Amino acid sequence: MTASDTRLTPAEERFRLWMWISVGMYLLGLPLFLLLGRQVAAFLNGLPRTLIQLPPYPPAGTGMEVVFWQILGVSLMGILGVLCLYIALDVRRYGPMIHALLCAKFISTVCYVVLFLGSFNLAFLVAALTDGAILALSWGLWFLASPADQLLDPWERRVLVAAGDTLFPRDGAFPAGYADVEERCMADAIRFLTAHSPMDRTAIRLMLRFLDLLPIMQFRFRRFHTMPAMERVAFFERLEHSRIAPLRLITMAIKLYIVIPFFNPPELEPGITTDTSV
Amino acid sequence: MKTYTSRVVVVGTGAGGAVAAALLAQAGHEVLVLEQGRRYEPEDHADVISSFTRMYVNGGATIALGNPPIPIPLGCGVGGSTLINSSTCFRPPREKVEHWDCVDWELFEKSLVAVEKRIHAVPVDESLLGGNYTVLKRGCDALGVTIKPLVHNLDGCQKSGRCAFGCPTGAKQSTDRTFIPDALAAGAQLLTEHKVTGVLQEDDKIAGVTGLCPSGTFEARGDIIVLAMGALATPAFLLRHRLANSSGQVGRGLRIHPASRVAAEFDEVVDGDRGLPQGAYIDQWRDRGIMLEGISLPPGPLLSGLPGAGYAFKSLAAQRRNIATFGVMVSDTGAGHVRRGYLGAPFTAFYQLTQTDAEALRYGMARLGELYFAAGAKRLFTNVAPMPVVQSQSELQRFEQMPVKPGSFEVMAFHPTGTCSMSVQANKGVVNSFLRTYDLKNLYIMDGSVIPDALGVNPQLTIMGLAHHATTLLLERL
Ligand SMILES: Cc1cc2nc3c(=O)[nH]c(=O)nc-3n(C[C@H](O)[C@H](O)[C@H](O)COP(=O)(O)OP(=O)(O)OC[C@H]3O[C@@H](n4cnc5c(N)ncnc54)[C@H](O)[C@@H]3O)c2cc1C
Repeated sequence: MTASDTRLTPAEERFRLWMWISVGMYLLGLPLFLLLGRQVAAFLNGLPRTLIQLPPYPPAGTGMEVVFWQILGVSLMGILGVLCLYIALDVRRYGPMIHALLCAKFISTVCYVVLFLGSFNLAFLVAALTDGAILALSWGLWFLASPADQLLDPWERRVLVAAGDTLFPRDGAFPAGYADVEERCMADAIRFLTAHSPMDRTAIRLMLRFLDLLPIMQFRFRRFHTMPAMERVAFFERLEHSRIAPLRLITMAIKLYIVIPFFNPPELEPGITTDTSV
Repeated sequence: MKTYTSRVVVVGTGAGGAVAAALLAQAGHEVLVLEQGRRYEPEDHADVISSFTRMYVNGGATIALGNPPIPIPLGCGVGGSTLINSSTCFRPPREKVEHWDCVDWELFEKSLVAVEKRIHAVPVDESLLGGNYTVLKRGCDALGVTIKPLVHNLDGCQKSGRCAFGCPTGAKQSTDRTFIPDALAAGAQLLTEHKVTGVLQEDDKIAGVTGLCPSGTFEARGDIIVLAMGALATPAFLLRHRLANSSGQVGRGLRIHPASRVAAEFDEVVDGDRGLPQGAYIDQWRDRGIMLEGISLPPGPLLSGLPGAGYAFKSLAAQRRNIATFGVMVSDTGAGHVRRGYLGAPFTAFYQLTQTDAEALRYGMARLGELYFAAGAKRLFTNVAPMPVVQSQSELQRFEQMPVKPGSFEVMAFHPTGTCSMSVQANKGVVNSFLRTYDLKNLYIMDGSVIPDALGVNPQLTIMGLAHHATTLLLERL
C-alpha cells in the first residue's frame, strides 16, 4: 500500500505496475550483470545459433577496464531500480523521479543509435530498440499518469496560465487579467476537459506541451511559459497566423480553454467587462 | 442485468427517434425509448461550459478528421441535437426529395405539415431578430439583397440568445418538449442514461439491444428496433456489429453542410446575442449551394474564435457588443465517411472539404463582407489564412482573389447526414423508402443518416418529416 495514493487513477495504477516490473527487471539484471556479466553476454551471443540469426552482442573485453565500466553500469542499474521502487511505493509523491530514468534511457538510446549508424553493428540497433522501447513506455505511462486526478499536470497548468496571461494581461481595456481569475478559469477549464474523451484530453495536453517547447525548437532558448510577456504575445499571434495549419489549430484549441472559461460565468467578475462604455 | 421487453424499442430521442416514438405510442403500441443522455429542464441550462459538458456529446469535441479538421457538435440528452440546435426549420427542397425517388412528395408533405404544426414552426417575428439582423439588413438594403426571417420552432421566445446551449426559457419546441412528452403521455417508457452498446441478433432480425445504464447493464428486447442515434453514431454502431451492410454503404456518403462565419466590428453596439441567434437568412446565392444564416454566440465562444492576443485582444473583447456575426453554409459537393469508432470513441468520422466547397465558402464570406462594409463595418474577421482580418473593400477584393486551400479555412458543421442512405435499390442504400434496413427485416433507421444526398438546408424538419412519413407507413402494416 502506498502512502499518499489511496485512490489512484487507472493510469497511475498502470504506471505503478510498470514500475514494479522495472524493479523486478533491475533486481534480476543487477546480480546477473555484476556476477555473470561475461556469461550473460556469451549466452546471448550463443542464441543466434539456436534461434534465428540474431545479431551478436559486442564481444566483452577483459581486464580492469571492463570491470570498472561493468561496476559503473551495474551501479546505475541499482540507482534506477531503487528509483522505480520508490515510485512504485508512492506514485503521487515520487512519480516525477521518473525523469531520471527517462534521462538515462534517452541518453543510452541516442548513443546506441549513433553507434549503430556509425558501425552498422546490429547489436547497437537491438540495444537502441530495447532502451528506446523502455523510454517510450515509461514516458507514455508517466504522461498518462502525471496529472493524477487533475487532468492537467503542473507543467501543463503553467503553460495554460501563461497562455491565459498572454491573451488577457492585467489592465488595458478592462482591469482584470487572467491572473486575477486564474483559479476559477482553471477550474472551469478542467470541468470542460472532464467531458472530453481521454484521447481528446491527451491531445490538449500534448498541444500545451508542444506550445511550451515550440520556442526552443525554433532556437529561442526559452520555453513559452518563461518568455517575457510582450514576446509571448507576439509569438502567440505569429502562431495564430502561421501558414502551417496544425500550428494555427493548436492556438485555436488552446484559446478555447482560456477564453470560454474566462467569460463563462453569466455574471462576470467586476474587473472583467465587455461593455463598450468602459 | 436489467431486462426490458417492449413491442418497439427506439434508440435515441432526437429529431428522428422522438417522432417515431410518439407516433407509435399514440397508435397504441408498447414503446420503449432508450437515451444515453439525461433529461433537462429549462432551469438546468446554466453557463456555457455546463451546457457543453452536459448536453454535448464528448463535451462538444466531436470532430471529423481531415484538413481542416471539422468540429461537428452533437446533442446528448433527451431531445438529442434538437436540445441544443438553433431551431431553424427549413422544408427540404421539393426537387431534391423528388430526385431521391424514394418518397412520394404529396405524402411526405403531409408529414412535414404535421410535424411543423406540432413543433410550432412559424416564421419569426422581426422583433425577435437581434442586432445581428439589424446591421446586416442595413447592408442588404444598401446593396439590394433580400434578407428574410427564418421559420423557427419556438413558442414564447424571450430572446435569451442561448438556443445552442439549451433554451433557458423552454420556448424552443425541441423534441424533449414536444414529441417525447407526446410519447410519454401515450404510454411510452423512456429510459435515460441508457447507452446502447450491443445487439441481440437472431438470424435475419434483431431481437433487441444491450447496453450500459447507471445500475450496470441492460437488455431491451423488442419486435421492432428503431435506431435513431444520429448520422455519426448509427453507422458506427452498425459497422461495429456488422449489421445491415450487405450494400457496403453503411458509413459512406457523409454530408455535413460545411459552415464558416464572418464577424464584423462596428462603431455601434450590435448586441448580436440579444435576440434569436439564427433569426434570418439570405438565399440569394442558393444556386451556388450557398446559404447565409444568422449566428450569434455568447462572449466566450464568440471571442475564442477571434484572432489576437494581449492588449489588442482585450480591446476587442471589450468591444464585443459591437461585433456582428453571420454564418455561411455550403451544400457539400464531396462526401466523407464514418468508421466504427477507434480508441473507445463511439464513432470516427473523416471528411475532406473539397476545393469547390472551400471556394464556395470564400465566395459566401466575400458577399457577407460586402454587406457588412455597406452597413458600416470597420473590419471583418474571416479566420481564413492568410487573411484572417480584412480591413477594407480593397482588401476584400484581395481576399476573394487570393489562392485558398481547404486547409486555410476554419470550418464547423452542424448537419451530419447521409451515412445510412435511403435508396430504392438494395445495392445502393442501407434502408428502403420505409426506412427499414434491407438486410434485417425488423430494424429501422430513423435519423439524419438516411438522407441520401446533400440537402443544402438545415435538416431537422426533413429528419422529423422522414421519420413521421416512415412511421405512418409502418403503422399501416402493424
Ligand atoms: C449546435 C447545433 C445547431 C443546429 N441547428 C439546427 C437548426 O437550426 N435547424 C436544423 O434543422 N438543424 C439544426 N441542427 C441539426 C439538427 O439538430 C440535427 O440534424 C438533428 O437533430 C439530427 O437528428 P437525429 O435524430 O439524426 O440525431 P440527434 O438529434 O442528434 O439524436 C440522436 C440521439 O441519439 C442518442 N444516442 C446516440 N447514441 C446513443 C446510444 N448509443 N445509446 C442511446 N442513445 C444514443 C443521442 O444522445 C441523441 O439524443 C443543429 C445541430 C447542432 C449541433
